[in-house]
Amino acid sequence: MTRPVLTHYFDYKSSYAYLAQEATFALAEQYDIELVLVPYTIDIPGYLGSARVDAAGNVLEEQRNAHQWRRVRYMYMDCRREANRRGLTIRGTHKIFDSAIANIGYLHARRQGDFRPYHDRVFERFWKRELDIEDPRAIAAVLDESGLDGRGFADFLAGPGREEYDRLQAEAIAAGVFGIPSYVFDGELFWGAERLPRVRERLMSR
Amino acid sequence: MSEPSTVIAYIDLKSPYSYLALTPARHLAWDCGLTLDWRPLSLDLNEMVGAVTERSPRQVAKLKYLYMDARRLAEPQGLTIRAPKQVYDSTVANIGMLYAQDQGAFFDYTQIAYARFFDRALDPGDAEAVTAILAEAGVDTAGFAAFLAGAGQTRLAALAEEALAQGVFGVPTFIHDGELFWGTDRLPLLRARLENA
Repeated sequence: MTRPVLTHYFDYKSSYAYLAQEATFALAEQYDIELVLVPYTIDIPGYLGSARVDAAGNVLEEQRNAHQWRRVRYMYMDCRREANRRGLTIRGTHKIFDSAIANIGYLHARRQGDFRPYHDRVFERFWKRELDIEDPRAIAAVLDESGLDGRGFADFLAGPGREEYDRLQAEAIAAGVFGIPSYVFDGELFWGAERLPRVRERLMSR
Repeated sequence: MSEPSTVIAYIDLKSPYSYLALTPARHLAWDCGLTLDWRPLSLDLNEMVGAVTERSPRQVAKLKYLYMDARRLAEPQGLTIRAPKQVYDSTVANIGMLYAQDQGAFFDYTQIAYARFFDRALDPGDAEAVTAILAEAGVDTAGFAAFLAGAGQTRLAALAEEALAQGVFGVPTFIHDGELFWGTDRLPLLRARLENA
């Protein structure tokens, strides 16, 4: 009998995705299911506008209206209180990062074996502001450190990695995924780690 | 004995998640002995999810998901959510909420108004329909027309200004001790705050 599959969509630049990892992996472990992680790059400027701030948090430039600022401030507060509760570090970003390279790094990692050390390191270090996820060499270094092949990453990124990533993105959009973190179980979509108890209910009632 | 805590709760008549928040919030209030200060807030949905003719594919996908999710959450509460066929202006119904609240009929009014709106049987901008609901909820409607034209508008606008100043961007939003909790999903966190107070 095949194990049920839980697909989890994540993006390294999503603080909510970072906060969701612990509960996601715990659920998979508890219920002997196949957890499939799929990177999905969210277009933050598309719905929250964008802004660049300096080290002191002063806005240098912005394309963001008052409503979007209220949302962004709430999200930072909301993520920070949860991070504080769990002893994690989430530091504000000074700009919106392009996470495609790091997300493709995940694809390179999972081809080779255990992606977990890479995955956990990228999330933790990005949110501590210790990793520039836009730098392919920095990503390659994390791959190496995680016991995987960092040298082949540049070629993968330029060719098959980018293709796989684009294909996965298109498939996710076709499946209705619009936000991160998301889960699909048995064709049903769940947005947010807040819905994990619902996913658990589905798993229990199989 | 200390004063019961007060939690401000912003809702909008046209918001499915606001509808779904009523009962869980009441349970929290009963359990924790707190006072809920319900306040209507008219959201500009065009700003949030895009005008119908201008929605991006992402906004379309998100809206489809939100109504599916709201129906999924409504089932255990035994409620019905039928997605409205257009973006409505809920100002009149929200002012009706204030009027009902002044007369102690907040829950009777909201129960009828929400059920009817999410059964596609109410235009929340229709003063006559809202007046009829007030009457059904046992409210004396004699002063409603004047309230709707005058004091009701002023109060709703003042509440909106205060909400925005507090950082509110969506509904339902609960505020306790200046801390914001957006969505029924955050009620367990609010409960933790209250239990540790």
